[in-house]
Amino acid sequence: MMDPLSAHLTNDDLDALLDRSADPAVVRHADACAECRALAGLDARVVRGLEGLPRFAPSAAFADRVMAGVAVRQAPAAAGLRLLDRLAPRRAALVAVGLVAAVSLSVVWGALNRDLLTAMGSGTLDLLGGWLWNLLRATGAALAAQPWYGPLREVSASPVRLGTALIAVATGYGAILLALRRLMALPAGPRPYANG
Amino acid sequence: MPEAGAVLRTATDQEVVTEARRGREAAYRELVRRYEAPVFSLIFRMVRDRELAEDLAQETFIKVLNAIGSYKPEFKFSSWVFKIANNTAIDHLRRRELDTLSIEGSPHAATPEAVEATTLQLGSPDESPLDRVVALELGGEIERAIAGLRPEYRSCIMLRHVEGRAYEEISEILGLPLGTVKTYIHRARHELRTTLQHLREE
Repeated sequence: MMDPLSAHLTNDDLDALLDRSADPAVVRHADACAECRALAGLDARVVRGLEGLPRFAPSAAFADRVMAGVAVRQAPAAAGLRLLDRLAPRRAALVAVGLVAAVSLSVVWGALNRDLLTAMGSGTLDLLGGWLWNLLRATGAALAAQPWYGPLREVSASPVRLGTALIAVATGYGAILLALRRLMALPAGPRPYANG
Repeated sequence: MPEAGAVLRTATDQEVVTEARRGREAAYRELVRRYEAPVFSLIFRMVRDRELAEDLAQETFIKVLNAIGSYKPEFKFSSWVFKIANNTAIDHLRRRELDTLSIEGSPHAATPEAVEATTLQLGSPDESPLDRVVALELGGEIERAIAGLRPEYRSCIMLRHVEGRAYEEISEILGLPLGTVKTYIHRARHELRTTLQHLREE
């Protein structure tokens, strides 16, 4: 507990005195210590003065000038929002019901039209398979027509040459990474400030 | 049946904001009516120029009302408005590098008419003549002392003791840690006490 005369009031004590929420020890100190009493008195006077300052009003046309710069949301958008607002509390339930209904309908329709579904499925698979095969053939032909394809095929024919080429590529890649890392590293030393 | 405007006047801020988001212009106007005086007063005491304060207050409300769709209802609407008002005023002061101000009109007023137009008018018409003289004297001293504070101290002290906001709310409005807000307010009060020391003997 605070000794009433041992230390002067802190800013928090002064706050508490202003809010009338001060600890009894703080109040006793303020009563006993002339310096703190005067300080608290002046503080209270300053705060009363601040609280009594008038509010100023802008000119009469202020609201109209503000509204001239404001885009009030249009009625259709607002009506849509109103509907969404009304549905908001039940939105999760509505989404769940909609999903269950859609899945149930698709299952029923599938059960009633099994032959049609099978025909549609096999036809689609055949079509996709054909597209994929054509794509692979076209890609292979395009690669084989490249000028570097012949030398690359020769290199890959010999395991020794292929290994050497892979090591050379990996070393070059590592060297480039190291060089980039050095280039992008932040300066370590202290930086000079423009304003001293 | 009560008039729509009267219903809005008794509604909470959140209810008025909801109506504004539904596209009711009357709700936008109600928000301006509620906050034009506090926002204008805060900005006026920051920049000390009536015309400029009106422009900055107008800019504040246009920003607030055009962004009403992005307002998060979990925050107090008043905190959001004061945050935008304070940022608008501070941005202006930084651009103009105008830290301390004069109560006797705008420092940028070039003619006597401009000085008069930008001078702070103190006192309330409801006071008795004697109260009015005393309030004018004390108010004038305090306004002068506030004008001498650093802008960040000025925002804090006005939000705390003129607008009556809690420390936590000021921290949210200004985007500063609670401890910093307390320090600014204590330092501002200390500076005001020092400036107004002579009141102690009266």
